Amino acid sequence: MRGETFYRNLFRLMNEHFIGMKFLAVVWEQDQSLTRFANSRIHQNVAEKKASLSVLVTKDNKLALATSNDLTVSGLKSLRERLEKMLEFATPLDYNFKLPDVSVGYPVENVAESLKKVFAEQRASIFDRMLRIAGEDVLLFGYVSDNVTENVIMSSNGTFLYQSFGGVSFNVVAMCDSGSGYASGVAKSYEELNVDEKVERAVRFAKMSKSPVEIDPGTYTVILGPEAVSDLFMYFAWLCTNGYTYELKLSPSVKYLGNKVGPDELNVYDDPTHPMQLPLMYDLCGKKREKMPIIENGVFKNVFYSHGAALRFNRKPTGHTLSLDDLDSSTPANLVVAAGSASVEDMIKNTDRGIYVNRFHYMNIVDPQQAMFTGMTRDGTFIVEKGQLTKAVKNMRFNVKFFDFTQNIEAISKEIESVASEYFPQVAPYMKVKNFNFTSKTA
Amino acid sequence: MQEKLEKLLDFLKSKGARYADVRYEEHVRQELYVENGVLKSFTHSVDIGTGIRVLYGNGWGFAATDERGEAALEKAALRALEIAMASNKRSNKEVHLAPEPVHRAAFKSPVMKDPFLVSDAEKIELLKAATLKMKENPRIVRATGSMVFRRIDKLFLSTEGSVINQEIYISGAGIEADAIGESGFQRRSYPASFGGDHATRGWEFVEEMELLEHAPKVADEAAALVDAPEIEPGEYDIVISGNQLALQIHESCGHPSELDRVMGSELSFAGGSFLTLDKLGKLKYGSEHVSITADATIPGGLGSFGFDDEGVQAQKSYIVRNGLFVGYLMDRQTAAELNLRSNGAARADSWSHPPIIRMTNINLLPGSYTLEELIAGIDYGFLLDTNKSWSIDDLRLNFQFATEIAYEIKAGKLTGRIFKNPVYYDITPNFWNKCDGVANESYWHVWGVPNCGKGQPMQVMYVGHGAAPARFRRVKVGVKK
Repeated sequence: MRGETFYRNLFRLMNEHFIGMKFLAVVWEQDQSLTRFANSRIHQNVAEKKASLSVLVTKDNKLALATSNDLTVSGLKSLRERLEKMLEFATPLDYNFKLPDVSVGYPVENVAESLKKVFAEQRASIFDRMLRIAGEDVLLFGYVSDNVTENVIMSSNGTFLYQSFGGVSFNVVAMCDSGSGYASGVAKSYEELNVDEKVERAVRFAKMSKSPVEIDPGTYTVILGPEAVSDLFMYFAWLCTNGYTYELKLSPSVKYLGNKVGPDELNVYDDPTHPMQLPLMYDLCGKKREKMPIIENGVFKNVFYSHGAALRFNRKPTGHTLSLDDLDSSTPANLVVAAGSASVEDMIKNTDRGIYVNRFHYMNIVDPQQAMFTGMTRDGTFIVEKGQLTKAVKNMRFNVKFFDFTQNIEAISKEIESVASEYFPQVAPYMKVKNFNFTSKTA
Repeated sequence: MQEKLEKLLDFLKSKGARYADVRYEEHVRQELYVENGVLKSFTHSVDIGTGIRVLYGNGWGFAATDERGEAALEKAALRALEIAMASNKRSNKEVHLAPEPVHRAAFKSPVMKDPFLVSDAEKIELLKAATLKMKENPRIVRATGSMVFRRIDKLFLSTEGSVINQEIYISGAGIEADAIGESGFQRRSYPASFGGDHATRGWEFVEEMELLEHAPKVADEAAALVDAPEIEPGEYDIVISGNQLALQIHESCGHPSELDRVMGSELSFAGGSFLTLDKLGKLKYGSEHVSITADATIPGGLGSFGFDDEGVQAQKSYIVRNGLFVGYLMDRQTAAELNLRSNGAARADSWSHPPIIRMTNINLLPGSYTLEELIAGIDYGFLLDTNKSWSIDDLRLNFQFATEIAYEIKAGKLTGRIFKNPVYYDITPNFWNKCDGVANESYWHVWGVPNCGKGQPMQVMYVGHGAAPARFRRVKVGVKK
């Protein structure tokens, strides 16, 4: 970590070398390591350390953005030269652009002491622990990773914000003959990472899912694990909470915003304050990020406005500008699907016939207008019969309209888990849902 | 720089490394994005750094840094070594590298017009004109155009003595139109969706696209799709256009033939493969019309280069020959496990990541038909064009694709009717065995896919797919909603 003092000095240099220019500058510095294993041995073990400085400048209502990983004085000089040339050719925007209002806050440091000096041996020792849990007849595939990130936002308006955060994550597929199970987790430090219990579950699912049976496509009651729930809500958040596409009427939220879309117990937030999240406290325009409801008591409450979209449509920015390349897009970075009141044990016990789905694979948007998503089941799909998981099921493809899915939620668990999602970490419960549409099967 | 890196390799050898290689890379990228005639995003980025890969005993380590001083490089080298030692302690399998001649060579993409020397004003003007042309249709609410240009300079050195310089250029562009009507919204794209088409070529590649000339048709089709019907779910004979087949090849042949995936190293993320080792030379992957190659030597293909990121020379090899599955995509380690030479598919998307097995240009070889002849062989069916979404299971068997548009075929002719939201799905070998004709060379084009995700940490690679329209019998189209 270079630390706040280094970046305060960079801010001074920025002001010196970009004098006379209106700028917004963002630095990301990352020190990230990852140990990857397959067939119960390490096959890839990597570390990367890098920083990048992006500078957005504006003049005569025109924008240009340049990025470099050269943080020296000569790097700043060439960035300025490049940007001046770009502004010559840029054309004015079709709305009145201005830099974000000045924002000055206390430095935020969310890096556990133990994460500041981590060695490959520590990641390998987590892998050793997983192997002991798995035993000899189960093969493990997955990764253990840690990272420390520093993010600084500076502007010619006088904004200086420093935030740092660290995190560890893992995932594991346990394989036993043809059977497999999966688990993942995220935490602020290795001490807080819940590895044992989750690996035990992945191993148990692998052993239970040998010799899967084939069932016919059709609609079924499903019990979805937190991994599966988080995937569905991640696609929803990505497709449906962008204020820019909402204003253009190119979003399913045009039809559903303000409506009751699910049971009272359904609550979804973008929540950097949640204890199980890795918080991003400021967005890239320096807007303080706060807990914001997306779905509250079953009602679709909010779409989000990035800096550009807010200026265009005379809205308030909501703290969701996560890209300087596209100032119109917004993304929730700390998605939390809140806990309900049921227990997962009772959900299963009270199901006469249904399907338990541990995880989805390769989701995508089939029809953006209807928020229709597809994907496959994988790594632990079981028939639920008379309140018990019985036989394993061969993988199935689903096609569901998200807002039909939410209307069909029957129960939400009080248990919630952190999930190492593909883009941002998420928090999600188990859910019981009726009429889930499986449309084809794997041979 | 070369001298500095040679010293680094000597240093690693002195510390006991069995093998090491180092890549110093400079990436320059320019992106332009125009919406409704207005330049909305204009970016330039420079990303420079060094990646060091070490084999110690039977353990790999990799470390990357963006610092350039000798002390910083030595620190990164020691970090790679420390990581390799931790891997070695847990290794229960010998690591061998398939032999490769020592190369002292250079490669440059075949560029006629350097895109970084073309004025920004010319690029912006073209995108503005194309988007405004689309916007002339009153139903178009958002007309967008984008361009991406990259120059990658790479210097590769290995402890085996290879020294390779490469200068790779990438140019890409595309346009899209979003239409709105009473019954909702729809999109059409040209020449392909999600950013258009890309190649390791220069500005001439963008000129050949004729974006402005195609803009009115793109807008008109998007507008017409809004009120178009959906196809009644059922089994139909279909012709699939080249820009959609590119993704079909990508997902159902390219990914499953990656030997690291077959051996399990992607299993916890994107999955394994149905093309297991017992199927090599035995599986009837497709009909006799289906021959698929991996060919990094095609001039201008997005997956073309001189040498991969292990210093293996670019090659052409068969994955499927006349329907029979005959080969994998390999790096030096996996090739050694099959006692083969690597076919040069180890690639990294950046100096900050280690090479993993990636597609090069994976191509369905052309057949002998004209497009009219393929259509003429269909009594009732559809021509499906331009990808809208994709999904395939963890073994690459059960796939489902959505396309932007379906053109109706009746009695061997296009009727002029179009359908929205077409979706088709099948199981990979069943599907390729239904292929009964591929269009000829004059329809064949290497489509660039610039966003292939694989690996952890995620690497986004640029790959190519040669394809011409092809015909498939009795494929399931449409899903019950």
